[in-house]
Amino acid sequence: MAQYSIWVLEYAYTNVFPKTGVLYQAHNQGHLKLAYCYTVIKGNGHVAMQDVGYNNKDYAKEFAATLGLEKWQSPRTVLSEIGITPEDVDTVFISHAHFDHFGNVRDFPSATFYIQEREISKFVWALSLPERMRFLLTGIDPGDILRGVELAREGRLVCVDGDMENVLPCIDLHAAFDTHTYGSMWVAVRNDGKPVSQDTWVLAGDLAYQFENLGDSGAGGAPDGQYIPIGLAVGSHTNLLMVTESMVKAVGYETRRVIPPHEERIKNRFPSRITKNGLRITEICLADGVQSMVA
Amino acid sequence: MSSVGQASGLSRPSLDVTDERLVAHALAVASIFGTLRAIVGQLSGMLILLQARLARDPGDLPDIRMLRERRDEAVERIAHLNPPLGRTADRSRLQEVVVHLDAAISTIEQIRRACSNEHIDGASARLIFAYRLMQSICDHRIGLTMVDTSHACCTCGKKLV
Repeated sequence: MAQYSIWVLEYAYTNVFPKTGVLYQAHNQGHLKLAYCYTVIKGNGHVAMQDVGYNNKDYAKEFAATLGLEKWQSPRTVLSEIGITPEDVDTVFISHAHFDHFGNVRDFPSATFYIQEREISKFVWALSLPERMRFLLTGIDPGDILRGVELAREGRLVCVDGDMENVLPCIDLHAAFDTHTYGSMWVAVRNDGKPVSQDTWVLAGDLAYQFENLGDSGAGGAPDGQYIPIGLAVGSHTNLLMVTESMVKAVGYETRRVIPPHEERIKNRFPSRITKNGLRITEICLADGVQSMVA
Repeated sequence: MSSVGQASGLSRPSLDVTDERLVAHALAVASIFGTLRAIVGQLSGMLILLQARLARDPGDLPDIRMLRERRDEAVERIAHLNPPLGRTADRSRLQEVVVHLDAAISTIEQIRRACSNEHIDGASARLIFAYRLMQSICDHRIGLTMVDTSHACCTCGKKLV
């Protein structure tokens, strides 16, 4: 019995992302297409998301163009492809506070947002450091934190302290401190509803960008290579690898069940389609009785 | 509560990015901009933590004294700016940003005595004004952006004007 449907929705992409950004030490190996996505988890009377993308209105198209980002579409347009509206979304799990994950909160007026308290408090600390330390603030827009103040004022921001089981039925939050960011977080969906699940999906956020980060050379089974950390981290490689092990262990070492939302090649493993706007929807799994949105 | 995020100007005058005076000004402003951007973020984060009741008073939070020192350094550098034509508004806007930040800092310091929704609203409104002013100064062509991606992986896609 499957409780949730999960879709990875592309809202923009770039064709010029350096490979060394996604795989540590993949120097001089050119560029690849990096999908910019958020993930919808629907079931048990809830519409939840991991992350909300970036706010193209505020950044203006010229900024996105400078990063080689193309085809940005609003959440309203993207979500319509699976028959939901931003107002339908009641819960959002913010994997981390980078602008392309935390930037669009204002488009979701009905949602309660979950973020690790450490993500806020440590970035407050990092923001207090001298300018020469500003690398630690890469990808952080203070406007997103300011919008977080609005959410908190409305009672719609929950600061999580570490792991949290059953934030929604059979959906668990897992802290990944001092990895990609100070308070990164991954999501586990126990889709058979069991405490010890045989049907778990892990939404990795930016803790993994590519299959190779998970020691997966392409088969999607047990890791057949070493874990390779991602390129950008304010934490440590040790922590990244330990979290990778936790994520892979959570799915019984079946690496295809760890979903890196930036990974273009998930289209090769799961049903998907391209929308009229040139963006991809990938269907990871369907709850019982739910019709496909990509067939 | 007014909200963050009107789009920064989409139609801009052309810039001669080889103009040495413009380059010198951009370098000077970038440093100030980074400091003020960080202060906006730091104060915003403090307001979140206060509301989440994870910090019972600003004494649990990073020292505002350090923040004031950075503010003071920024003010001094703003005073020494010599903007070229086309960027003459930068100094006054940055000065106005500081006014709003000063008000936000004062409000947050008052929270030490009592934390009310009015305090939170007051401080965040000031930060919103400051953020909007900074957005109006933004110009990616001279490295002034609200998000620093200068050493992020995604900058390889950056196109030169």
